[in-house]
Amino acid sequence: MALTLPALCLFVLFIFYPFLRSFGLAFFESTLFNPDPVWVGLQNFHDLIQDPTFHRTWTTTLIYVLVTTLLTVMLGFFWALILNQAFTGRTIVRTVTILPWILPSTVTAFLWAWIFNGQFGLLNAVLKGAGVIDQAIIWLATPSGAFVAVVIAKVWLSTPVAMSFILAGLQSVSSEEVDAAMMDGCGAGSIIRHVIVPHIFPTLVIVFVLQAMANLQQIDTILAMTRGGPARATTVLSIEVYQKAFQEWNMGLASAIGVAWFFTIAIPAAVYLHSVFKRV
Amino acid sequence: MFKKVIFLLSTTAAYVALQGATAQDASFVGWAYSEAAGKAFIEREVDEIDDVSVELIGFPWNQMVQNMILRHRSGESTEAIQIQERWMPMLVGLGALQDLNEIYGADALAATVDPGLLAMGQFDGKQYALPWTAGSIALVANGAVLETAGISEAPATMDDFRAALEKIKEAVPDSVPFGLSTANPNLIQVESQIIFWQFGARFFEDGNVSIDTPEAREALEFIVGLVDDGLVAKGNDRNATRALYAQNLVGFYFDPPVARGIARKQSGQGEAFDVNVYPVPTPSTGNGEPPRSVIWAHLLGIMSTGSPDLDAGKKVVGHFALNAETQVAYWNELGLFPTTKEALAQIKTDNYVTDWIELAGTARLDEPASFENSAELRKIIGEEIEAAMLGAKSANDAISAMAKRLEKAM
Repeated sequence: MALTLPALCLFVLFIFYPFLRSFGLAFFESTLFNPDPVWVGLQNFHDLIQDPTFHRTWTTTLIYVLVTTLLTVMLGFFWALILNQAFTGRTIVRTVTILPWILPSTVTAFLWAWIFNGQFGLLNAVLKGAGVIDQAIIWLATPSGAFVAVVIAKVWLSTPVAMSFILAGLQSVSSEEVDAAMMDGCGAGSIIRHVIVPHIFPTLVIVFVLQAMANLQQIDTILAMTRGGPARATTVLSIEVYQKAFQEWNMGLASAIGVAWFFTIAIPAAVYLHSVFKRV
Repeated sequence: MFKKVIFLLSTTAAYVALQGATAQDASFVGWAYSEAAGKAFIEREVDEIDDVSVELIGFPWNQMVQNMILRHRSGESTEAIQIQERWMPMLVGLGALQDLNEIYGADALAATVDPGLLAMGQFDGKQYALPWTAGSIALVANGAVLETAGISEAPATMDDFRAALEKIKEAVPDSVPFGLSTANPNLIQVESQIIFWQFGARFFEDGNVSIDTPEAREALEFIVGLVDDGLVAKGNDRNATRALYAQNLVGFYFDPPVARGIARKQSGQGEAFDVNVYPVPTPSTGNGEPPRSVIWAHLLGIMSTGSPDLDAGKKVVGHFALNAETQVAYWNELGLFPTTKEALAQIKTDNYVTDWIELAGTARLDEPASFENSAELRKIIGEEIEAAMLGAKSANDAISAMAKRLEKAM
């Protein structure tokens, strides 16, 4: 107990107390002109429930998390399968694959913002060069284009992490089992479906849950690429909290969104913790 | 040797003590110091202020409000602060600014500063800030582009304006005929409201939301039509537009008087590019509205938070806002209009200045600025206009949604 005391103190001071304070602030009106909070009970939550823009933000968040997480895990899985094979230069490819992971996320965001830039972007240049388009497409200026761009940026950033976890899981797949399945006439698809996936399924679940949690907390790439726009198309809960708290200075409402955000994250977190403690 | 060391030490101590006794410390906080052109000017000018040692702190424009509030909340003293005119109600509401009439004297200020411009820093009979530079956000034309398109006169009506934009698109196919901001809700709100005003629409009247009107719908449909026809580019904000304007790829756009200074730098042609840059009246819709533009000013104030050195603040703010010589130098270097009577008289031979000042005569204060939660209101307006411009909503639905959201936020 004594050994955990320093860590416990730090946890209480820097995580638990701020969390409780912001949780409590959700029940107060606290704005720029009203820095001394006034108790309003559940009013902030009532306002959120009644607010169609918040409903849209919550839906956008769920779609963003689901699409980004699924793509990340799928690409990570298939990339891990490739990197699990023996081929010349595998170590170099594995090393290069990790690069997006070690890049700061804002650098990644600006890189992708440049790729998708309507006037000077790489994507338009390539498409124009290939004769696919005649006129430049302003990707980040359309709601769907901007959404796709932030998803791609985050998937590119996260795939190496997912790949690393899954590759580690693949190391434990018995080569005898794979060989036996091949001798029984199974094709690659069948081996993946009936041998590999069942074997690494717990790893896939953990990667999925961890990625979902990380994507729910995602703010930096979206803020740097689109600032939640255009027309709120990329406004997820993290962006909404930031804008309410530090642009509109409505701390009470921002805290209420934070609480809604917390409970949204709590669902995958509970799944993850359950799977972890089940193994212990 | 020992005597020499004692002499040196005592001389140094006396010098330091003397400096401590006479020099005052002041902090100057503003976005101008975070911009390359303004930084060099400010650094040079603060050295000219006698007996004041100035700590210069620069934040980007879009982080200024946040940092002002943080300084206010944390009790940080700020002897000189740069303020955008639309932030004034919020700062006054916070009680963050000193009454400068008590520092300079109301009569002295009235004798020095142009009365219309001086009023920009007044609230409830108090002078909370002094105008450093002022004008309006108005329609700026590009003479070279207009000439290429065969347009010899500024369009008088919105129909003429649309026809001129179509001519530009035809003559300069890669151009953005009208560089209206379509990205960044804050810019969209500030610029689009000029068109709304011209169509006779107001966002607020007598403290109530008044945007749900046929005039507002007509204005937004006009804007959406320009976007749909490629006469306004999607995903553009004023910064991108300025770069294109300097390459003669924009026919018209909304900007403050700083437009000419920026075009000089970005075109690489310096003053030779001036001939292309001139303000034009916002075209009429035939409803009797005079050409509208948005009042725009950079003000300087002294924050009341903490324990500011008022005498040092007086010297710093006065040097930039009341000294005609500094103001004319600022105009010469950055193209920003002065505000003192003496400095204005010196530059009135320039048509760019006289034309702009004439247009500013019918300028209006940015509408959300008079509300305490102006940031929230501005965002709502900008987001709904943006949604209509990008086709995510019809103009009709966007106006209805805007009215509902604004009413809820009031």
